[in-house]
Amino acid sequence: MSQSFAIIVHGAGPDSGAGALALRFARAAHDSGQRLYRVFFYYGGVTIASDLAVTAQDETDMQAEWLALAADSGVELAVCVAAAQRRGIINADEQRRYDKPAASSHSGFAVVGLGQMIDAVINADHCVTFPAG
Amino acid sequence: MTTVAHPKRLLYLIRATPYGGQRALETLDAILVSAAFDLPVSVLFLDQGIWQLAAGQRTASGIKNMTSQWQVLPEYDVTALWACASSLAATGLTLNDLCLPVKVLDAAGQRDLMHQHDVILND
Repeated sequence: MSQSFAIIVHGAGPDSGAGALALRFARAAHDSGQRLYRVFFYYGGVTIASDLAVTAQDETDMQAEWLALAADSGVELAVCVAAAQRRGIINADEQRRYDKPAASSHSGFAVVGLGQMIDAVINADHCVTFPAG
Repeated sequence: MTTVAHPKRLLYLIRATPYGGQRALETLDAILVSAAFDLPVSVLFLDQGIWQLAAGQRTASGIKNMTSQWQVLPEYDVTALWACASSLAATGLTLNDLCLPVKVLDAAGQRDLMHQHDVILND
């Protein structure tokens, strides 16, 4: 019987290997018939949601890979709102609220509270964290 | 499906130093939110994470003092606090140098602690 997984990612982008590792794990879990409950990005991992990053042509666009996984599996990609704000990742609502010149988060990522991480921890059968390292 | 008859027991492992950016504050946020969900939460300080609990830390203005920050844990009923024995020895600190009461665990004790929890979260 399939099991559900909460995946918590602490690093992303060019400064951490955590995102790539987490993505491979999540993809393997999905491909082997397991259910992904939620992917929650915390600490510097939230930068994966930036809509402004540009990937070099000969490198892998990790955000596109996560979005493809979400499209295939239906999993929610969530970033912590407090961690994201500190790092310049804000959605349109926050842009208005804080009177910033632009929103920066990709619409494929939900900007949510830490409670959503705990919800995933409680309700998924398994929880795997990928520290920034 | 795995069934857990009791509320899930969470164990946070803290390895990072207190002033490596805002990591420690974000870790503390996660612990406090977990406690707000009425989950049993334990915290194990190990490696350089022992320094988080050093009493009497002095910080420049504009930097939150982690000695004071961690001391809110008992107010949130987070009292299951543990320290790795060899990490504590490596820092040269003693239990009297720490700002919260922790229990010291050797390697076997830490292994048992991990087995007693349903979810382990790293910093």
